[in-house]
Amino acid sequence: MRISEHEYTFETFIKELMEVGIEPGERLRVVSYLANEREWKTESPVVPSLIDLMVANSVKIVELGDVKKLVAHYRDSETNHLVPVTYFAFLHRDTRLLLCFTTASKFDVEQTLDRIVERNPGLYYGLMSSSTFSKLDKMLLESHPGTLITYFSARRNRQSALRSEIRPDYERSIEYYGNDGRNVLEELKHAYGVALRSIHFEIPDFAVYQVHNIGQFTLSRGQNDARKFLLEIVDFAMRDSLLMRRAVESGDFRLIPLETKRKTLLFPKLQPWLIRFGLPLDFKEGENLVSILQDSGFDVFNHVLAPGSLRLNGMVADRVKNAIFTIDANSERMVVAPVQEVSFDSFLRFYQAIIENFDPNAVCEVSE
Amino acid sequence: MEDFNHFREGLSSEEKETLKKIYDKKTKELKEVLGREIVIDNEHLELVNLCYNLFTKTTETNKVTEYRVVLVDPLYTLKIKNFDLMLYNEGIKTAILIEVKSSISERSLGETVDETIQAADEARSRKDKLELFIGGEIERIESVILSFAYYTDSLKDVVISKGASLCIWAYHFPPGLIRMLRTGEDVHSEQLAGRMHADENLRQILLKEISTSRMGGLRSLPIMPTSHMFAKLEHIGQQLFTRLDRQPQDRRWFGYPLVFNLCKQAFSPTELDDSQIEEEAKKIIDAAIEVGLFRKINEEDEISLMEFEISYRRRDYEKFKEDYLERRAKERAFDASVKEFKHEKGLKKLDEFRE
Repeated sequence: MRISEHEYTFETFIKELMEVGIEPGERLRVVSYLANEREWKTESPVVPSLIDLMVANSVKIVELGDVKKLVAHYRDSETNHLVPVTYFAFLHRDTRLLLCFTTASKFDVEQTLDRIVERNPGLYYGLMSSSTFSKLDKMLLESHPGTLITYFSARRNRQSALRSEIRPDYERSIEYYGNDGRNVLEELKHAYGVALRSIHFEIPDFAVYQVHNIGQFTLSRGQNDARKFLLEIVDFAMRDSLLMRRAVESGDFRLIPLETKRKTLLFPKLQPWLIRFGLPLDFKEGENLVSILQDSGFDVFNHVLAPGSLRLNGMVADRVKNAIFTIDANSERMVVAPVQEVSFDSFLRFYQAIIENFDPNAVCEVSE
Repeated sequence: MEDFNHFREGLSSEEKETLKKIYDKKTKELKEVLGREIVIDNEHLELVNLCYNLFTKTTETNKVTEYRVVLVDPLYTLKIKNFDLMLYNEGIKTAILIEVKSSISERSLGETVDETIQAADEARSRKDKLELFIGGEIERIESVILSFAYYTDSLKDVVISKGASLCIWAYHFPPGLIRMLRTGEDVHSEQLAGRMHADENLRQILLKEISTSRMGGLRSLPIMPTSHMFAKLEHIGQQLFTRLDRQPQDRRWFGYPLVFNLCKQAFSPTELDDSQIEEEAKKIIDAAIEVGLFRKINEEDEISLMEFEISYRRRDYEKFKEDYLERRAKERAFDASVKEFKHEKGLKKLDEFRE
């Protein structure tokens, strides 16, 4: 993809993107991330600015007006050569959505931007839940009634709370190719209790779109007019992702002072956000949840996990994003709150660990 | 340990073998006891936070009752070990001291009530201090025991039989609510006896119920000065990991000031002043060195000049609990196993044996 290098507004860039030649074998991919800040350069006390994050990770930045060309690198393990990976990135000020347009492969993205997202605070995947996939499917069927699901991948963690009719104690990963994907997905979901990771939508005689649950969208077949619809799909799916961020960002922590002659006492006041489970949980599932969180890089500590009706509460440390927060769960819901400054990405990573490995139908909400 | 080794040296090889068996058995037993202590402490933190979360300023319960939390571990600096929270209603100048019990054995019910009453009396005699702590006038001090509902019925019988001035709040889970126990039919006389709150509004609300489901046991207070040392080490350890992981690999060391600041943050709603927090921080550092959580990396003898690193890799940190239990249980098992050995051998004193 040869985007010419000059100043763009977002609109002129999109116009160029709609028309630019894409080499055979290349695929247009939109990688969407949620950012903490509205601007590339900020002075947040909690997270590094996007510019600092890119520079610290040796990403070369070329200013193209509202759009930035990012050239990241990774070392190919076989040839030991540095492989450049190019993105055209736009940070939407109002939504803090960072859209990166590229023709790089999924592997290239994993080796570059995804690594930055995984290891640093302030940026996270444009996460999609199973309900986002269902809504997207419905939207596609309404706009293009012949839309097929021709591929999907789904997984089950051995300790998942999702009901599985067949051998629930097995860990499994399923990939399916076939034009009856929509039916098979429903059948396998119930029979094997699997959670969706990615899906291919085929609109006959128009396009094939690949959608991955971490907010990656690829046009794998289709002409120029299919590119525009790719952006509509991104826009549709990211609305849910923004709602998730809004929910987790509603979690708050402040200190209420009490002045006396001797000292100022400070009382922590927490405002939680909430995860509503898809099915009521029992004690055994609570144990499984703690174990899944541990495997996903979260230490649950100084906690209570009491037998009987599920009662789980205590502290959580995110080993990857370096954050500490607190949780309280019963059989219906879990409330989560920061105990110090936590940027949203740690909470989204926590929610992702739950929907990918434990309860794909768990919904995150603002707590009333 | 020295006594243990000394004692062991004086034994025959057969006796050494017997002692070893007793020691291993005791270590296992004590590990379980210690594990149970930690569970009880975590449940204690849960109940304290449950109550704290209800009565923090600007919460719904604070608004309707007009009581708010004004001190955590309120009598700690007066060297009175009871009571976890103090609530205060400025309008009617009433303070409520809350003792949280996450575990009460049947046989210690009487003792629990006696101790709490005694501590409440002491608190009343130090009312001037409490007024200074909270910066407000106190005309009335009431006291409460808050516990899980499965303990509170037997507790109620003891409180009534002893004629104790204590209100009992029961935590019912499920569904997650706190309710005050009705200790007698005549509200007026119960109120005069101090077993029901004098403030009618609070009394009515508590006799009905206060739902805890919005926040549950979220740890607004991750640790308290009176928490188990293990909880303090876990908390400080995780806080250190979170801060140090942002540093380059070769700079992941820390000194006393960071531990002090973490303690200061954790104990901000208590009456502890800087010198008392300093003592707490030093106790935590001593314990962390002793149990192998911190490793000293300089030669300084003065704690405030020492530099440390955490002995565990972050991903292996879950092993710390196991190591802590093992280590502490072994320490406790030295004396316990010698005692049992002597008992089995019919020996009463180490000195007698030596003679």
